[in-house]
Amino acid sequence: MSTATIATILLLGVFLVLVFLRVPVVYAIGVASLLDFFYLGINPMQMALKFVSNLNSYTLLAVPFFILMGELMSAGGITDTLIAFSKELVGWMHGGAAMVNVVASFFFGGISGSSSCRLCLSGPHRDQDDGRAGL
Amino acid sequence: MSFVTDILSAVCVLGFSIFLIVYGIKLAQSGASNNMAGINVPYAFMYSALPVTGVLNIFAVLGHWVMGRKEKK
Repeated sequence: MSTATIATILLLGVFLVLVFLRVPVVYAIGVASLLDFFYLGINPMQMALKFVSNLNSYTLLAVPFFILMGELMSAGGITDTLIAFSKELVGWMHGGAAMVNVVASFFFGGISGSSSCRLCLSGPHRDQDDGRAGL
Repeated sequence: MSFVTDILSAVCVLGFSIFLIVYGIKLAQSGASNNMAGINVPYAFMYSALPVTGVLNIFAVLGHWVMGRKEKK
């Protein structure tokens, strides 16, 4: 077997074993890659350099800022207002709780311009908000 | 069995954190002489994110263990 084949088997094998042993995926990837670096004789400094250069991206700034926006919206009461409004609109229907969720997501998507970022905005506060809204 | 996997998980996190600290410090030292274009700040500041991440990871593991023990008691 060539060195590249053994390195690939080592990478996948270590990763799968660690994941099955309930090691968090991010560390399983890191440890498996690190072992591969040592096996192939590559300077691990390259891995550290790649680590920083991949994180050094303006696009990724959206993630903490969306979470911050969600916290501000929850603290400021916009979330409660939107859920109360959605409840007034569709809360009376059969299966109202789910429909309120969909309508509130619709408004969040409209405000933020991204439908999936709504998870960052109000996902962690979903239970509290639903509880306060009486759902 | 759960105890063993928890220890293995903590060892993996600690090992990776030590790697981040050691090689992060080396990288920061190597980048101290070069400045970032435009803002004229040494690359060492950017690379110092790695050792800081390693230290915070270790704190997170320790916190997880302490909280787990408190919950068991």
